[in-house]
Amino acid sequence: MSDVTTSGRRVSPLRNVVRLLGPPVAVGVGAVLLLQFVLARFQISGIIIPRPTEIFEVMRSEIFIEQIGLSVWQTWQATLIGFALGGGAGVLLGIGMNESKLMRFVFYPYVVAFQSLPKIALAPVFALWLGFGLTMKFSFAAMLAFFPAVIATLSALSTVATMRLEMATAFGARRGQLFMRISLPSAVPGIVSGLEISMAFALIGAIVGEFISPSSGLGQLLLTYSESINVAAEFAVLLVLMLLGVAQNKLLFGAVRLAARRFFEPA
Amino acid sequence: MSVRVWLRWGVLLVTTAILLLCWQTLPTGGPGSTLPKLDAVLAALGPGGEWDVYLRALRTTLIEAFAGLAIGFVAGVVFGVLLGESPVLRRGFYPYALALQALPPIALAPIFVIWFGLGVESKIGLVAAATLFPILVSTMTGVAQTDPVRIEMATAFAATKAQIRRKIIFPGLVVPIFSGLEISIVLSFLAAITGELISANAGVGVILEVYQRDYRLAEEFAVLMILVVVGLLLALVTRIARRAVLERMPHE
Repeated sequence: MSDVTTSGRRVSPLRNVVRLLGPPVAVGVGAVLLLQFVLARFQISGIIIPRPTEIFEVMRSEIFIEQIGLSVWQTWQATLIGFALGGGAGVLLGIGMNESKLMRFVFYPYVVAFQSLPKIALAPVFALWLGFGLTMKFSFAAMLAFFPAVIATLSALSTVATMRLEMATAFGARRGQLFMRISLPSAVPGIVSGLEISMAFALIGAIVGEFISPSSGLGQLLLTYSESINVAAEFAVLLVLMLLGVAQNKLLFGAVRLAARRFFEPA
Repeated sequence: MSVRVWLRWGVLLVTTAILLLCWQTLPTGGPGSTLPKLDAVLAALGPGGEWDVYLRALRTTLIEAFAGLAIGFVAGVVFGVLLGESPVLRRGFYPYALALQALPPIALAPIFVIWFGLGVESKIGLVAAATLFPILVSTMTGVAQTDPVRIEMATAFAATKAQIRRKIIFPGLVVPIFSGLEISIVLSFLAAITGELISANAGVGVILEVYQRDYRLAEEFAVLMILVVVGLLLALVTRIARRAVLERMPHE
């Protein structure tokens, strides 16, 4: 942030970089070296915990790169479609439930009942209804993405300051104006946070879908490597999956947040 | 006022009745049907249902969930306090904690099966891994957000490090830890069932798949209904516990 310490002494930018990046890099390198050394020293089998070099070796192989590229795309495709359908429908229902008291009253019990069901338990039923393939995966992802979006939208909209709404009403604002000018802009940050959770759930849904009715994607790749007890490759897939999660949750939604702030500039 | 209340209840009851009626009449219930009729599900939930199977499975799943949650809770609080108290450790480990949190914990299920086998142990491990991070992050933030003025004041009055921990830092952790715990309770049940769906020899996930394989969909849907009730009960217990915890907290 600033290159001046509390004592007012100037610090060189290089030292600042070392101060910020030093600890995480040290922890990362240290953990890798320690793992490598301990696993070799105590001759722990790569089937239990693969050595970092083994994982690296797998990640460099051509077959893995080819497979992982395809699988990431297959999983993310289902995630995106599911997120768009489930998240979109969730935001719409949240808005509807906020605008109409009747809708809120009628839908609320169902939302609560579904919310308390561990929805992953529905995966076999989805497999039964939709079989194998993309449709089953994105539908299941959409179902998981739906509920966080509903809840977040509803709570973001219902905490909009009533005073601002009353003031605008007093000045003769119509319902549509109230919603577009006041409710929606102030609810956007809450809705975006909800959608971030939705998308994380959509990714979970896609992977569980691939676990339950394996047809393609990272979930199936994990199962395949698990069956051939290729643990190093499983760890490699998990690393890639972690990067995908970070890219999705932090980078993508960081950008979405920025865009939303730009677009819904508070008046 | 009262007309509107009547109207609301009326609409709710009518929609529910229509839904239930559709559930009863639309599925054929014969061979090839993929949705059991409502009365078949209700029969499977009645005294003639396989309650011994349901309850045994539920017990296994709840044991896995709570054992895993206990491990995840202790580990989360310990690491959370460690990371919260040391800025260097926090800077060093936090990026990795964030990255690990972005990894869907259920993706670890196949590895836990390789490590711990098909029994409850692999599910306990998975639940612990899934529940660890919400508790770790909320504990860590709680420690890091302790009012520095109060710590300085206590230091000025010659309080020892242990006293500062016991009197100032730890009491402030109850509320943040509890909010992490609330998330983790839901996750624990979820992770246990996911682990069972992927590979296990007992539990709710297993009987769901067995019923489906044997084409006993009425029993499968009955188990899903039971899960809704258990989920509601868990949410209720958490809510009561939160109220109790917040009431016991000293008001400042």
